[in-house]
Amino acid sequence: MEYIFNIIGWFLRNMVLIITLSIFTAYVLLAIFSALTLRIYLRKNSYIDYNSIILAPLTPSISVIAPAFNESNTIVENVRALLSLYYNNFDVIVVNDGSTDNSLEKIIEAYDLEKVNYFFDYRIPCQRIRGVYKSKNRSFYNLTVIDKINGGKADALNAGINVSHKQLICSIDVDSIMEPDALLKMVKPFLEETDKKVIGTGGVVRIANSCDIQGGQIREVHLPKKFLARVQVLEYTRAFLMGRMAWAKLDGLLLISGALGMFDRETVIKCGGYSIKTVGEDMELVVRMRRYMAEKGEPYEVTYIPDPLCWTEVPSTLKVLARQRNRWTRGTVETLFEHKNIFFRRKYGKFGMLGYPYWFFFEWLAPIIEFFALTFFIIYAIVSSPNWPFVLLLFGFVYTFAVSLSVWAVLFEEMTFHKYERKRDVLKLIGTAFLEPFLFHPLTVAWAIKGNFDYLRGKKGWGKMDREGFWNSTMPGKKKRKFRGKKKEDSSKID
Amino acid sequence: MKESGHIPAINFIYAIIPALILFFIMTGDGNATPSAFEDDTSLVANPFEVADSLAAVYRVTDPATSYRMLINRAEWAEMQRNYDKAIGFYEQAFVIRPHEQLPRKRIKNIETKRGQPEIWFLLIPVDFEKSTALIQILVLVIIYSIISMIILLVFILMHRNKLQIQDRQRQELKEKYQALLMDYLFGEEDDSQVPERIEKIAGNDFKRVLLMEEMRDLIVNLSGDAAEKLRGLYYRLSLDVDSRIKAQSRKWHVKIKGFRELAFMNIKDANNEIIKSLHSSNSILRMEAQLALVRLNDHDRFGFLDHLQRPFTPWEQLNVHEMIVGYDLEVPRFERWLDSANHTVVLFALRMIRVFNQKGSWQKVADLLDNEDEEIRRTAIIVLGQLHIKEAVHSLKHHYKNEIYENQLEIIIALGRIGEERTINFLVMVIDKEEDVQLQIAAARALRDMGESGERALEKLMGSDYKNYKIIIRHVLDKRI
Repeated sequence: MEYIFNIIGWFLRNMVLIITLSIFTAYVLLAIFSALTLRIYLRKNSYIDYNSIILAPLTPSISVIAPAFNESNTIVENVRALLSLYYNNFDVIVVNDGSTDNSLEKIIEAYDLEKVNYFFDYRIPCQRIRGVYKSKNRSFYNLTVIDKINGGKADALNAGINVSHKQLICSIDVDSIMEPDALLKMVKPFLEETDKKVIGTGGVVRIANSCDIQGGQIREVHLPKKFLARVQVLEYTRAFLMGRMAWAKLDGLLLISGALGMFDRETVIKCGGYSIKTVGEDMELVVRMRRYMAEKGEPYEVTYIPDPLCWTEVPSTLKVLARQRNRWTRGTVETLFEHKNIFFRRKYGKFGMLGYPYWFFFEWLAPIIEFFALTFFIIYAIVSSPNWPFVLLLFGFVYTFAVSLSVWAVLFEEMTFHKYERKRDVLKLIGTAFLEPFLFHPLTVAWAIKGNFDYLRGKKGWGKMDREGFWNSTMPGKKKRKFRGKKKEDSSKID
Repeated sequence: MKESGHIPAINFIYAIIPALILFFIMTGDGNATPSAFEDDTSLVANPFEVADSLAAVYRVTDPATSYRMLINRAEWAEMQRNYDKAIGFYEQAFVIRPHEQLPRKRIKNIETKRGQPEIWFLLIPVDFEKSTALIQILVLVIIYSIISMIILLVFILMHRNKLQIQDRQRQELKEKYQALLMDYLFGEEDDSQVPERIEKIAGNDFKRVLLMEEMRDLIVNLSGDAAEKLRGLYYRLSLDVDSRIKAQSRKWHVKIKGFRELAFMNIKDANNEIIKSLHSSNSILRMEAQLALVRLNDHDRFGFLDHLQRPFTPWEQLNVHEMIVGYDLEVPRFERWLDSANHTVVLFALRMIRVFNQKGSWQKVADLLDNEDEEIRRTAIIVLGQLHIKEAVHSLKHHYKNEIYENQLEIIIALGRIGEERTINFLVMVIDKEEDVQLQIAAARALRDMGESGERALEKLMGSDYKNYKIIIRHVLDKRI
């Protein structure tokens, strides 16, 4: 027994420290790499005129696929905003995923839709399609509505992909707000394709809580008033501007957010579409597509656009946020375990040697290590006497490092897109960075542990997501107001 | 549908906190935990170097200190796997403080350890706890983090002010310069003299850059005498020298500015500088060089296509097309590049043949149906279809059987576009024999697009008992789809 303790002791004493220092180093390196990449991107971007794409006959065609479940309050306006995106060759496919409210009736009425004789080719599996609708009004010639049996977001996206005949698909959350030029910017990496096939592009998702929204567009950006939403602004800024930018450049990007992603349709179909077995279908698809291309030996690229292209509402209550994080954790574990063969396999290139291991150790394992270490520390502090001066020094070290990392993220935002124009907002954001380690971070660890536990228990499904909703501010005839509408329910797949 | 997906990376940064704490408590032993904060740090580094005998210990009169020093040495020896020495130190410690359980426990541990097989990684002598260097690093990181936070905060706030002031200033100056230039161009002033006010502006580096930008923006909308007058001013202020220097810069983004200025001001003798960048690995620089050459090289605007070695990306193609259309440039016969060794140039030529409706090149396009590159074949099929080349029908049908799936689909679509009645039987056969639904739908749609005769063929198929085509045909006949 003592022999085993020796081994555990060795790991706890040394491996934990090595992992810890690796995390520290990794974040610093990612931040530096991201800063360099962002600088080059912005400089190149300053010479680009996206308007040249709008009328060009050489652009690829795009299907914007928006799955919807019980969105009756907002669906009409959501679709209107999608139809007014800037692009010359696109259609919008709205998938009513077995809504139990009157979403379908509302959209049928608003856009003068009628059922068409559609022959549905199930190239990738999805739940049964009850009908395909097109508008009698030629102004909405590029709108298609699919009515299907409920099967979850992944299933709805698969249905949309089956109906699409365009070269590229752009999957979005129907209640997110896309920047009008989002398609122009996202299609560009596909146009820049050289020897490597571009299979997917991700965009930055920003937080719309407390923003002024009018006519389906963000008119004025404000920092969320609630702490819980504000702290997520910091998280998103760190993740998107400091993390993913670097990973895309390092060719290790494993995730394109479900809120906004553009993919090569044929590659998605060849890979079998979105997986309905996981709650992290967005990450799983990217991993599977990369794996498919690597196994075929075809050079490929997954690219990333740092411009803020999509705005979404984040949970502003602990209950809803806990469900979201729980799901993210389960999605991560499911994907990592499903594709465990990639782990440190040279055949998959940087994706297998760098991207996957990083996720394994730092995204999945880190909160688990943290949880056990913290538990051990608490027990130890109760039964014995730790070396308190050293403990305080370590706390000070990690706290100041973490806060400074957040302040760097704010600087990244300031030097790139500076969406928060008011000085007060910047100061608030930095103030939030000081509170985050105490008030928010312990919760994220707890939610991650719960997610792992639920995964082991075999829990499936998304959980019920309540949102405040911001589309009320966009309804025609209504006065412009800030984003604090009534509660509405949403769930793509009830547990 | 909600949720934007995971927000990975940099989320669990604080895993460091408990992990480090855990490490340091694990290496300690309750009250007897040796601390790097405590005295005798000289012994911490390597006890053997300090004193190999116990003499140094016995010189210390305080038994508690002696005991601690001995334990330190014993732990070090144990870590080095010098078990005999470690036992010796533990025994000495036991003599000094017989009531302590630790030395006896450790001796017992060592004896157990000796009887077990060794694992390689347990032998790695790591003991970060005793490193004063680590403490120094931690303190340094804390100081660095605090200082950087303060500096960043001040910088962010100042940057905000600076940006606002700069933007305002630039806007004001540009408006002023625009008015000045317009006065110069369309006023009564003498062409041969540079107005003093403009000369003064050009004397200041910052203002000179703004003036150049304004002139560049202005000349796009000018022609004839006004354009020549502005060009004259550009020369007289020696701005062409600035542009050439920029074009020769080692920095790609400065180069681009130079290219743009030279191209917009129509400085024909600057081509050599630009040509060098045609083979750059920097895609944006390469594209800007191409666009500048298209503007400047009146005799052979697209001659650069002959020399392209790197892929001519769709983005570059799109911009060149935009330039042709936007500036109403003379369109060359693109069949010249159908034989290019660079397959992306061939693709561009095919696309331009389609866009500019150069039907006369159909034979050369049809020859590409035998090309090795499947994308070239596919594009050639699309071009033949979109140009409605009836002469190519036979060739398209001939190639169908041996083509890859994606190209078969395009052949059917092309036949539909061309709309020759003699393909009806072929398309009916596709519907009848092919098992792939997409091919069947495409063939049915092609028949529909042929008009009455095609629709009659579809109706006939609808009535057929051989197979149930009804769903597919209803689908394609529904014009709302």
